[in-house]
Amino acid sequence: MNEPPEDGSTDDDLTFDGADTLVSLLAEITDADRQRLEPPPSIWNAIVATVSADRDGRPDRTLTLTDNGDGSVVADVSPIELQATTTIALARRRSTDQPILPSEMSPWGRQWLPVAAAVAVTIVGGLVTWAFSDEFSGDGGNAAAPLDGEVVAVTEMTDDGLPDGSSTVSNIGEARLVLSGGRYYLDVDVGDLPDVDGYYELWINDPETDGVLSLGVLGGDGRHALPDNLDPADFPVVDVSVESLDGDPTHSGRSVWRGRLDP
Amino acid sequence: MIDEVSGFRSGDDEALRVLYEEHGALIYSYCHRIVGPNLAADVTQEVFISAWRSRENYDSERGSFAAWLMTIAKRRCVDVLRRFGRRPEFVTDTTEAGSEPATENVIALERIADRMLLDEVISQLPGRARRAVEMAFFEQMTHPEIAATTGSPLGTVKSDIRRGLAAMREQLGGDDE
Repeated sequence: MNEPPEDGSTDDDLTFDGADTLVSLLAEITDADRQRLEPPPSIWNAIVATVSADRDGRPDRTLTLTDNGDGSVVADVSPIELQATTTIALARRRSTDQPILPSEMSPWGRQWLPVAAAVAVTIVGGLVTWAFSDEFSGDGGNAAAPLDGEVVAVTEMTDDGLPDGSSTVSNIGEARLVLSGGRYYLDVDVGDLPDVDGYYELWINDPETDGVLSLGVLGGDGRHALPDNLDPADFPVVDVSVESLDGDPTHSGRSVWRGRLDP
Repeated sequence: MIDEVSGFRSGDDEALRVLYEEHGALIYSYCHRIVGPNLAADVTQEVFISAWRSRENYDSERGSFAAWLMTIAKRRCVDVLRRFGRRPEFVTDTTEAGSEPATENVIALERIADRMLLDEVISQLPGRARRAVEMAFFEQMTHPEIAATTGSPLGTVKSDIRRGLAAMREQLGGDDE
């Protein structure tokens, strides 16, 4: 019972400043303290986008969240002159409070939405990408600053073949996959977008899995960063959807223009 | 680990990735517990970005990297609770919504962080020492009982526990951002 520690220390060595606190804490550890949750991939993607933006010397833009008290959150992107505000519902799926397939949704949307709900990065990830995209301005982007980089692939953004077919403009412009500074961007030239009830959102799609990734709000011409660890060949389809300000971060299923990039 | 932290301090992206893989679950789990599932991802993201931007402030002599991250996480969570007038769900008191988090809530929030960090440190102890510490503090076994169960000499058990406690003491502490 009184056998000393084999390293020659004594039991008194267990006494040190804070030892009581340490032992007390150890005695309080519960199963909840030992539980670990796997972080969603959107966290790392957002960190990478921000770190890359920092490195490129882009201005710091902070995402500020305000709770609406009903499970949804208002996200504001500073600086304030950006006037970029939208309502989002973090980590919520349409299925939690609405039918999964609203009647107004296109067949194409019906095909996408279940996968989108499972795969789509939350709108926060999209907002961060959007907020840090080089050319973003209050009206959703501009082409005033030169966009450098090597153009890897180009596609026209048309409504050809879209089941929705609701667009009044059949060819809205083009999207270019650009490699600049070691990372990929999507440069979008769409001019003045038609007015819409809601807003436009830019997505890339893997047609093999129907997985979608939001690149943020589309307000006009602009550059949108792709996550660093993403192979653009895995998401070759560029898609523009019309989204409602309903707080739902998933793809609405109402696509209006698409194109395919083949690097 | 030392190389990764050194690389992190010098701005190595790869070191950031490795450290996120090592500690992301701890920070996310803590934030999830304190601010809830809707905001946990954003706060976790803020923690790592804040750590990256203030990486030169990290001093390994003042605590482990995990402890430093946890210090940032505690502050971010308190900020969120203040912003939303929320209280940690684990605390039941009469604090009105919209008010500052009660002092006792902040203390409870910090204590949870310390406990989760301690558990993280224990999980990283060498196998024999980890088992001895777990038996002593989680299973409430005496040193002789641990010695009898593991077949280790009593002196070895005492040494393992002493080293484990010393490692925990070193790991705790945190640092300023």
